Amino acid sequence: MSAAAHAAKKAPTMFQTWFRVEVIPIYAVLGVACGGAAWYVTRLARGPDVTWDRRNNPHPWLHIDQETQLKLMTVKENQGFTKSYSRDRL
Amino acid sequence: MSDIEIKTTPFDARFPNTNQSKHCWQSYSDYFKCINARGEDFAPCKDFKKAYQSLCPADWVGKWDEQREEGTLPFKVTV
Repeated sequence: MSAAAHAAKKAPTMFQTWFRVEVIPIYAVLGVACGGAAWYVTRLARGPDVTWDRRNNPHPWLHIDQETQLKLMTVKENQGFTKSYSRDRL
Repeated sequence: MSDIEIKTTPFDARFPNTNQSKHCWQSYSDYFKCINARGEDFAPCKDFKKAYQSLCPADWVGKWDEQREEGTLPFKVTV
């Protein structure tokens, strides 16, 4: 590594440094952020609020039972939610 | 004072969040579909009417009522 440092007076390129140990924290944080963003966007897209197929399924929220929980978590125990929502069609 | 019953629209699992705009629109639309299908005196339609009167901003109700009279309502209220 000191040979490379002597040979190239310019800063090393990303191609030369991507596998270094000190870059791992950036990868970890970026991974969590991008993964979290991707998870939340897919959760929103699969929700009943979004109409993907305007001809065959224009109002998906009309086909939910009243005991279904749509939110991520509930705090009260006795709210009577027995089902969770899953989108079975476009 | 104790015999005045104060109520509002009950919880609807289709619209669990604070933003009730879609609930307002759905109630308005359902009330007029109910009226058109079953007639003005059909009692269960009243629940939709109470719901949209509680939930919807007065501006929206006024605008939609005007559009209904002119025939320019942008959504269908006939089944």
